[in-house]
Amino acid sequence: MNVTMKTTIATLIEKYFSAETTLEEEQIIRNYFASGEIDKEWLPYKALFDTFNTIGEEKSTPSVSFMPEKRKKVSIFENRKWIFAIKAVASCILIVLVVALLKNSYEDYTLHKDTYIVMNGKRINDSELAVKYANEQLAKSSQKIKKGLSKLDKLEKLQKLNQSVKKK
Amino acid sequence: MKKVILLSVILLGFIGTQQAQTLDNLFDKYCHNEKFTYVSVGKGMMNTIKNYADFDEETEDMIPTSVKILTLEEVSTGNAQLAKQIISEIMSIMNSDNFEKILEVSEKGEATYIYSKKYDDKNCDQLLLDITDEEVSIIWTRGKKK
Repeated sequence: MNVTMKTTIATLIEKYFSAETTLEEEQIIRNYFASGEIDKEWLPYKALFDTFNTIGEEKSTPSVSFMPEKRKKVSIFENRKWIFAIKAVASCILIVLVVALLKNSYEDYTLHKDTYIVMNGKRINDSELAVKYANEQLAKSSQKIKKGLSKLDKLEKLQKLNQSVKKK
Repeated sequence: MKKVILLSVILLGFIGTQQAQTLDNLFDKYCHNEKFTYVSVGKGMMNTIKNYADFDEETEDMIPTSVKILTLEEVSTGNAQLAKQIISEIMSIMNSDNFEKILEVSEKGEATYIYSKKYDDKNCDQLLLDITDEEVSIIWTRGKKK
């Protein structure tokens, strides 16, 4: 090792322990200790810088152990997608059910809203009772009309007889 | 002069309101009267009326959309005057509103009348007035021509 190199290393080591070295200068020191041609004066520091070298290698080389973590992140994202999809489908089903229920109740309301009965001045919203009453009244009137119209049958028969007599 | 004009205006107004008497007004007038029973059957429930189809042959051409029935009972015991009044009002409306009498059946003090009115090619009204010793029944059907 030449004198210039030795002086440079000495300066760099001093700077290192004063925490004033740059990354490049630290790399020069590590390379020096990794080369094997170390001055006796600095042999005690070898173990220290070898350790740093090993840590540096570990940091610089991507570890296989990171892969499962990446996979985990992807799987969480996919899970979220599924959760959103399930939520969307559930919301759609809920909306359809609510709309169907509202439609049924509205149809039921429109079916019965104009059908009621007023007895003794009081309105009763009972469509079955109203229809029953209407049927009874219509049945009564229907019987009378049929009875009245049945007398017209005799008239029709008389007219037919007249026509047959005229033809003869 | 002013008095004459004022009286004329009041008289014309009175005549106007009298002429405006319609079936709607008549049913509104009596539907909440305690002596009457009033039934309204709307469009949605018309299919459930079984006896409508055979009470008049005229209805074969008509699709009923609503039925209103006004019934006054106990005519012989206490409501005779009210019965006379409503019959008179109905007859008046039938005449003034140009309803056509299409059927009249009278027998032993009982009478049934059917009146009809066509508003246009689609809409028509039919009124059945049934008078007995015990009750007066007015059945008003609104419908559409088939």
